[in-house]
Amino acid sequence: MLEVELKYLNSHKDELLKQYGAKILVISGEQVTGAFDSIEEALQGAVAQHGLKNVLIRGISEAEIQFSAPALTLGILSANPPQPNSGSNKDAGR
Amino acid sequence: MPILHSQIAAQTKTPDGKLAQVPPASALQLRGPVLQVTVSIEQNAAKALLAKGQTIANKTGLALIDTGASNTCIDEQAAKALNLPVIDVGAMQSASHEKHPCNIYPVQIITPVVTLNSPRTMGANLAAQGLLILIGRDVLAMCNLFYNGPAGQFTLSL
Repeated sequence: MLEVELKYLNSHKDELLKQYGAKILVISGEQVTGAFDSIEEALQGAVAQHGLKNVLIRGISEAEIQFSAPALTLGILSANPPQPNSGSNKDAGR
Repeated sequence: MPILHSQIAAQTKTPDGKLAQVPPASALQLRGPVLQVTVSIEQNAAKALLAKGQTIANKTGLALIDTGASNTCIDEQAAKALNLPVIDVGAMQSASHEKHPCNIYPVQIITPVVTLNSPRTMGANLAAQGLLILIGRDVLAMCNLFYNGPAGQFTLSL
């Protein structure tokens, strides 16, 4: 997913950094279609321009997100135990 | 300040086949801090969609608060069903497996009291474990979480 966009970002980092600095970029294909100050603004701008199309949204010098969730990767989350559940949030919204 | 306060409930079968309530402290230990949530596209992206006259799809399911997870996750199939756009690719780390790429989606998590914005949510196979969302430390960074084990309760506030 987003191979073209990631390849473009990685191979043009220096020139993009000079042009856009610390902005968060929206990249579609091999084209920068927006540069924003925050992820929230970038999301709004990207959806306004591209709708629900997949586009890369990342700061130029941001590294790839490294994600760690030991319970998930080990498959030991137990939200679905063998006992039937009667629900949660008994007194939500206090 | 919005405060979500929840007591976990669960039932079990007695040897004679009748249903009995599990004490809240045990239910919280068994199930973890779970809550019913509705997820949809991140709120700023939703604004842009609404401005274009499009509707916002949503899905309801269980979320588990996981302080061991560095980032928040959404079930990959649910993200596809909601037609969420992929906005980046991250890497899932594991002690037992090689790193593998994960799609990243913009999501908002709506609880009965608190709405949590999660602009970079990792896609993962959560449905197999009965979950729609795993709330990780990136979202918890904006919250106070109080885990009351003896009472089988937890409280989340922004």
